[in-house]
Amino acid sequence: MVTASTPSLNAARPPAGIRIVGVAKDFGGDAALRGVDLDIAPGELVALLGPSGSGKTTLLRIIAGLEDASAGQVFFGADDATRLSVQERRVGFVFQHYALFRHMSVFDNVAYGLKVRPRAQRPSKAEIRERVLSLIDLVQLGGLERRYPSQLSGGQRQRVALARALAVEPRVLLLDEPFGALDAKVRKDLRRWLREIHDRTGHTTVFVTHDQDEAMELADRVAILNKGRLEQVGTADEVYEAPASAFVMSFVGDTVNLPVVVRGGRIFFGDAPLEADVADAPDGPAALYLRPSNLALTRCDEGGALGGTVVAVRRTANGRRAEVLTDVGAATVEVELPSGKTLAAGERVGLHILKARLFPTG
Amino acid sequence: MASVSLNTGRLAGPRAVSRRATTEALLARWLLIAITLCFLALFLLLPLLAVFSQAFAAGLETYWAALREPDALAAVRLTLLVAAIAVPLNLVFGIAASWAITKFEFRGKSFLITLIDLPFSVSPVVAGLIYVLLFGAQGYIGPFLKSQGLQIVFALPGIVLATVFVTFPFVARELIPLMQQQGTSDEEAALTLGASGFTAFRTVTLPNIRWALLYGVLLCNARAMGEFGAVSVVSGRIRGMTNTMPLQVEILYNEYNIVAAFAVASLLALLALLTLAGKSILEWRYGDSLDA
Ligand SMILES: Nc1ncnc2c1ncn2[C@@H]1O[C@H](COP(=O)(O)OP(=O)(O)OP(=O)(O)O)[C@@H](O)[C@H]1O
Ligand SMILES: [Mg+2]
Repeated sequence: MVTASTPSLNAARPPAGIRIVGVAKDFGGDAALRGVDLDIAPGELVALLGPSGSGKTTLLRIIAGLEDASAGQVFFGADDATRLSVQERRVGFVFQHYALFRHMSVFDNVAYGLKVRPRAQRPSKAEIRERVLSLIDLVQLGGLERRYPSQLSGGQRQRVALARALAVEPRVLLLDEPFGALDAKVRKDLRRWLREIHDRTGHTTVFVTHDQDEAMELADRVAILNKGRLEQVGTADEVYEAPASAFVMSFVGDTVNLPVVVRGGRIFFGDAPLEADVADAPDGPAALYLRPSNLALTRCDEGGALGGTVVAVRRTANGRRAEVLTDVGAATVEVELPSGKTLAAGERVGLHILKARLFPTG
Repeated sequence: MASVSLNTGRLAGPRAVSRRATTEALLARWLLIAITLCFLALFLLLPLLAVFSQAFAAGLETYWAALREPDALAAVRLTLLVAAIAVPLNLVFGIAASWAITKFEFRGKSFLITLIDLPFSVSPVVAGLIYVLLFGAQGYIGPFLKSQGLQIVFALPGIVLATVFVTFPFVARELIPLMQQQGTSDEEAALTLGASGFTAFRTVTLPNIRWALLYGVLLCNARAMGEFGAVSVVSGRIRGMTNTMPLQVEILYNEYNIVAAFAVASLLALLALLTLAGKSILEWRYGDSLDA
């Protein structure tokens, strides 16, 4: 890592927070955003997470001023950004496909935002040079400043794009799926590295992704967007442990979902009552969501356990999982296997539900 | 071939097939190349050589004399002048049109695209006639303009108008596909970095399209200097006044002044060849910068 931290790399003034109030966007047909409210603290790193088409890019572009909201306002600190042009908002925007200027060297790309300033505000040539070179160092591309974008790898291009966005001392930093086009290993490296940069420069940052791992690992808080609505905003632990909706639950991790009926405060799966620890639920049909790690294996004849037959055992990146077909309801359930435990297809098992969440359906 | 196809060994089957396939492909390739070359020689190269050989048939002296003749000089001047006005106009129009079409969403966009192609589909003679109908002495607005002391038809403005009309699509047609492919994110990046719209255009858009733009301008220029149909209708063909080079060639030819006709024609051909050379150099550079 680069250790010498020049003051010019830090946000010029204390970073501004972002306040989004009732922002909606209509593209003529379907609504892309339906009344989004979001408060982002100064210096916070928030991940906007959601499936494709949920409006993440649209929201980010509205914050940047590249798109006009149909309704609602965006504030940077106390300033109403909705009244400011793109240029006046001074956002650092990193595009999914880099959008580097292909006819300019790495140096000129990073220097662009400083060179286009009006003469009165433009730093001197020497200052520009110093600032650009230290930014290129910050993104660990020292020595490559003469290269052209076409001579860089995807990961390197994205780092140039970040340096270019940081050069203008932005009030907020906006990144639209910055690592979307990169392979898993590079993504992971860049993720940590981006967090380090964020901690050093202290910009208020909004980061769009559809990769839940990326969002949870990187962000202070995760904002989950679905069909133009914010479903939940919270820390990674909050959205994982206490999802506000079935959508959030199934989006931020692997889930098993069982169609159940609640009668008199008890949960029935098929005809069998289930022993599951859930808060008081209204009577009626519901979906019981649980994570593979929230199931424990027991013997099949143990009381209260859900009986089933192992269909297959699979290896995943994080461990081994058994697919179990339940006796009642004939649902396929995934269970995480403790290390050392072996199971064969056809074996009879019992399942204990350790923890689950109930979401009423219909 | 025969011995191969008779061979029934296990390996021979596929190999024989591929051998035959490539032999056939080779044959077809040479045949196609030969046909193309013959065609080009017969229909393009030979006439070009004929132009120059005819031009110099009566010797260098006569050639120079034919070119130094006042009417010929006037035609050369007029052609260059018309191109010098029409090409920059279409450069600006072309950029504006492609910019509007590729960077904005608006109603009637596909109609606009069709409109840009109009000059390609309408006969130049018809285009010329339209201008006469509009601006002529018996036309719709011609008499009014005449009363204001403005002569459009049978004068320079008419020739420029006709040329602009005919050569309009070249720049736009060259730019639209490229700008569509490049999208708007480069410009948006420039805007977020604080550049004004014009600065973004100058420092980002223009460099991104420069080769295609030059290519379009060269094609536009070649056509502007060579246009015959539309210009012939609106110019009135006044010798030494409203005759462009192509018109001058035709007049000289009709007067059986073969050497002079070919002398002027050779000059026109030379200009075209220069444009072609410029285009080849650009294509070479352009392909390079597209790879990069
Ligand atoms: N310029 C536009 N014109 C019309 N509709 C648009 C436009 N941009 C986005 N949309 C629509 O708005 C919705 C949200 O799009 P958006 O690009 O914000 O999604 P996203 O969450 O960024 O998706 P992805 O993860 O695929 O990038 C989509 O239904 C999309 O079709
Ligand atoms: Mg998007």
